[in-house]
Amino acid sequence: MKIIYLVHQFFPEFQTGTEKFVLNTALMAQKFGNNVKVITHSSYPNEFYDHETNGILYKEFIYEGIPVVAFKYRRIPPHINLLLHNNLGYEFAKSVLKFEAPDIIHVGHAMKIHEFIWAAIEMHIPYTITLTDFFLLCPKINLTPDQFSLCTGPKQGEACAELCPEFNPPFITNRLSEAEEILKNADILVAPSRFVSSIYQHEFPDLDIKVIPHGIRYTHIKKNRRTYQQGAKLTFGYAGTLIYHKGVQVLLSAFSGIENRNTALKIYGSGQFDFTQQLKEISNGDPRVIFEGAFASEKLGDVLSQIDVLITPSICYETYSFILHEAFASNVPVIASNLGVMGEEVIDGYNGFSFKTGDADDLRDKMELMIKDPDSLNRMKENINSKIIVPTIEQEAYQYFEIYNRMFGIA
Amino acid sequence: MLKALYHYLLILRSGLFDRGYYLLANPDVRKADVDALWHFLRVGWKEGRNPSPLFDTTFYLNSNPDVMQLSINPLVHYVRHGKKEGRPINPGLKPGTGNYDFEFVQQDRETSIPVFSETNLNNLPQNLKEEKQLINSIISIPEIEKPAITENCTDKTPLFDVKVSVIIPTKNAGNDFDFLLKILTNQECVREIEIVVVDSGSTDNTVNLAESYGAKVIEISPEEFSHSYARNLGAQNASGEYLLFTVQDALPPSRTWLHSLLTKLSDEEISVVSCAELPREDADLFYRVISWNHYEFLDVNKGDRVLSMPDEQNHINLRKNGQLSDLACLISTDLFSQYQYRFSYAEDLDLGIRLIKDGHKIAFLGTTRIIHSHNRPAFYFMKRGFVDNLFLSDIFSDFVIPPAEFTDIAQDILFTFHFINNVIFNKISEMEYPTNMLIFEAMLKKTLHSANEFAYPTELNFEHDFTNNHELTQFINHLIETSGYPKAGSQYDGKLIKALTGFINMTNKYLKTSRDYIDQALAEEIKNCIIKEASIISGANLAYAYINGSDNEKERMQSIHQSLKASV
Repeated sequence: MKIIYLVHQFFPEFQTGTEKFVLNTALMAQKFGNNVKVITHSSYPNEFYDHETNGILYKEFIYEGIPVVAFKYRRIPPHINLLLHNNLGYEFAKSVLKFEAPDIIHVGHAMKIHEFIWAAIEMHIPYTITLTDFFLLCPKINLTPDQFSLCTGPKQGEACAELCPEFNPPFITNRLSEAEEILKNADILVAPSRFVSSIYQHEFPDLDIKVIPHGIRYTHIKKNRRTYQQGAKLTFGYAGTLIYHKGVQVLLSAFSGIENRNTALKIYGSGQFDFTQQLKEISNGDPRVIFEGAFASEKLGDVLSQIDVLITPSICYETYSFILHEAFASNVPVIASNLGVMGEEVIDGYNGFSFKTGDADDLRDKMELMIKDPDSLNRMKENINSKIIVPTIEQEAYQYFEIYNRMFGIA
Repeated sequence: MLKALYHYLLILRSGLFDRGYYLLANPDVRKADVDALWHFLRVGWKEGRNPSPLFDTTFYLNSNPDVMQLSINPLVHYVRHGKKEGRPINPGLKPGTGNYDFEFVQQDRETSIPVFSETNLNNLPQNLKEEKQLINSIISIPEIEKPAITENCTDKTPLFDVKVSVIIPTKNAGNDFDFLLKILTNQECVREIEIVVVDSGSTDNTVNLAESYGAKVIEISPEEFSHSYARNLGAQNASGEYLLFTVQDALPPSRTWLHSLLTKLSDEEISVVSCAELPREDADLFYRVISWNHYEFLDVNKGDRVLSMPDEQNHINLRKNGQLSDLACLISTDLFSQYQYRFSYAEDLDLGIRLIKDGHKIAFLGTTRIIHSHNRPAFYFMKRGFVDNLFLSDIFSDFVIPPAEFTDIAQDILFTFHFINNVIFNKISEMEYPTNMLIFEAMLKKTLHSANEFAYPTELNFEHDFTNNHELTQFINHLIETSGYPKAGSQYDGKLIKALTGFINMTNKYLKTSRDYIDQALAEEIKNCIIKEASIISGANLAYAYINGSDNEKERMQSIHQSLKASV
């Protein structure tokens, strides 16, 4: 079958989690014998493109074996990052879909390519959407009214009116109505976590959303088989980007309050120089804190085998956390913020602990619990080893194999 | 510092750093208010960030292991050396574009009311010491339901009140075995699952691992092992009402996979359930082609099939309708005990044929699959072609053995691999990529068609081991030592190229299901695929020569027979 993937941006120009998800899914679908193509908005210099129609520039190229059509508006329509339609894009989308004639469409992100969804609805082309973030609910994408707060959804626009007064209320109402139409016309909706699914269902209770967690590559995973006795030295670890919203400052603050000297904290990852310096200042020269710097993905197994407990202290919603799942796949317990997908995956005392988001005291309490009772880690690791299943890339792709078959009418 | 400044100026003067693009693509750099080029030089390239839309940092490093090893900034390398050497900077090449022209007529579609202003959403605090209050106003975090450790069964997936014994023959089961045991023991909505492992001399931790998951482990010596014996022994030691036969390197795709198989088996009409495989991420092209072709043959690529005794009982119809797969075969213990496995090879097909002959029906599923594939070296397929055909001639009385004589086949094999290396591969290398699939296909057909214009080689001269498989090259050497060069210099009149053409046509047919264009990476995959295809055809024809051969000829082929039958 022919599958078109729609995404707001793509390789090689952009390579965040959503682009990786679309690339992996398209590659696997291609390996399963499907004809795939990615259509994406882009922002290359105008001379990059070799076709133009009605002020829309476009070019087709191959990236890692996947055909990609990248398009760009010569004059970018106003508020393109916020709105859910524009007429010019709609006509272009119809023309493209008529030419490509896909059997099904898979939407990785609706921003800037929503016109293809409207065209698919009109042309009766079945489509599925993977809800990789909250764009269809929130023009600010991540439910962050401002840098210090989070919200739980628009509540038919009431929450937006109160928390985001910069938006005109009729704009929000209209946008939500369009989003609802896009969501309800989808043949199958997918979310990478229950958290994302529940936020959408909170706003639109009738939506049926299938949860398919992202798969990970086990190539670089090593099982951490260390066991613990009373008094064992514990090494806590953080692995990820050093940016404010990841909450490393909360972790450092919590760790500074731990008096036990027979413990360590390893920070893996890099960030902007100034911010990293500020983090080092918070650690105040504590010899127990080691900044290990960035690590290559093939070293992940080594990183997770050098720590006893992973800490994910994010202070913003995460729709899926790869490092948390990679820790579980490596048999490493986790202490996580009780927020977003992390709050969903960590079960207190079973595979780790959760703590109140942003609360350094609560985090310190949980770390001290483990320091005082290292045997609890043995039990957690046994639970993780025998019961927590983190899917592989192939298992995730298999779920989409079933979805595509269903949409295509293969029984 | 001086070196850094030199690199800064070098890149600046090259014009290859697009400051605007870099800031647009990297919001964190934008907010940090740092010099974009400094950022790229110091940390950006290490994090895989691109200096311009056209320069792909990760691609450049991955394509140039020498640069990767030196751990130097790839753009600096490109400006200083790569550009002169013509090294590519991105994988994106234009294969041709559809005509998307359209006429735009302004519509009266209602326009959303514009927003008042777009705010800067992620304006980070610039100084953490001043920002004591990290996050104090999260507005009611929604309650998210925690996942149950074991899912509850529902109307859609009702509990099967049965015990299933999973039989797995093992020997040094490898890295994936742990995950297989874990997902098998966590299958949902089945009352009880028992794992029975029959291990034939593992020297790694296979046995300990199986025991750690509570498996019943039966150890046999490597000499005792045969595919039938090990599985029958496992079944004899199983206590479930149902048996599921699988293999050590398979991976059930989900926790409800076994439930899907049981659901199918609960159909009274069905006696056994088997399913197709889906390749792993790293499966090579050859494996994908033969797997796809096999399921085309069985007609399960577009759905499930119920197999039963065909009206016309020739070997093709029996294979098409009596297929079971060792990868996943679910059967009641009672029924299995009446039949059991036989033979040391193709025991699954033999069991399937016996079952349908007795009126049983097999459900072979294409919509439910098991994840499994191998990346085996080319020589394995030489062996496989040999053993498969010996077996087919044993089991099917109507299987026609094509005429074949050892010396002719040995010369044909020599010619075929020479032709692949010196003609086909050269033609593939001469093409510009990406190229249209149809153009590529036409080039291959024309090249293969020209084989009769070439002569048999006068010597075995593989300048480098183009097969990427030393064992295969050694075997061809041995073959030629045995047969000599009786046809050297005479015009090619063999049949392997024709057989290879058939195989390559099949590959093209598979590729056309998913590709409109061939790029450089795929062209390399196709080369490896052709080597394996030539190997399997060569093995098959050596089997024909062996079966057809006189006692003297069999004696002459004894060492070849031994090499090809070992470890399949």
